[in-house]
Amino acid sequence: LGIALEKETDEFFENAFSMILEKLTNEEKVEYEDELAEEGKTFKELTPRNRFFSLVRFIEVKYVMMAKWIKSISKSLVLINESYNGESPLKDIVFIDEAQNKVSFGDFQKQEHKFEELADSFKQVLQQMELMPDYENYLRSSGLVREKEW
Amino acid sequence: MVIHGRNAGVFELYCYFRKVESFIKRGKTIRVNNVVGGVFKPNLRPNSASAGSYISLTEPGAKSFDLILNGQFRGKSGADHSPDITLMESGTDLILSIYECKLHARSLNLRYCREFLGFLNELKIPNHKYSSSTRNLYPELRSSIFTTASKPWSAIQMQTKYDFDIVDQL
Repeated sequence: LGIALEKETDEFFENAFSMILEKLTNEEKVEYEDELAEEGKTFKELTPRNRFFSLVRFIEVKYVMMAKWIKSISKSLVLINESYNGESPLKDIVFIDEAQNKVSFGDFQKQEHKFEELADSFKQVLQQMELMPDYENYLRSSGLVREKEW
Repeated sequence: MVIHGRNAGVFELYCYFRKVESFIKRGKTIRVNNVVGGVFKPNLRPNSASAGSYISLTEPGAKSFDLILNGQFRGKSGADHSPDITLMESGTDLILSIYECKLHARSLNLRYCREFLGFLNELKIPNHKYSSSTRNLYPELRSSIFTTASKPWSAIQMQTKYDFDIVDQL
């Protein structure tokens, strides 16, 4: 994140929050605020620390988990194709995105490494900043356990 | 760098194919329907069940099921509804289960449970011939909310009372 302030201060978390927030699109900002609003909160009501971690969690669900889902769908396609005795009935999947555009799962597969890199760098940044234990505590206190398997 | 705003669709596909996998593990054989040129193209918007690509799950001597994405169905009030994923008995209009995919970062809002109850009621799912005990024996048949969020205690109370599952923190 490139934040030079001392970790664990309100100022640190406020700056980190602002830096991430300004990278989001307007739609994403609205989405993030809507999620908090569903719990009857606004981000301004949260402590700087919880505000920062709530945004980290939003980013994690919004982007970081994509790597896991893409990998799982790819694995399912292999399983389905194998059950066809070696034939390959499924080469691609077309679906619709949130902007109502038709998209190809194959395009996502091609970018799988980018999502994996994103997932790795997400963890690395939190680890390098020594924030991973704090983030995991935040998740636990929110009733969440990261990377729980189906 | 990152494809923006498309993850809800990917999450829905993830839930759909995990569901297919759970039936394969139960010994069902799959058949892929309405696929042209190897491209699986499910309903992109609410549409009749057989309009897009879908997967049938078969087993000798047992009933076959169809797993539909974005199927549109008439509720008992006359209003149309479109659950994210629907499990139907093949060759009939009998809906066995529905699955909703909710992509949220925090705690599942109770309104999604209330909305889900509306689906179950409108589509007459609690009353169909597969009894509660059958659904308990075959958990694949239990209607479910799949979500990345956590489930609060109030949601657990609702799923217990109304016989559906919430598979959380995916």
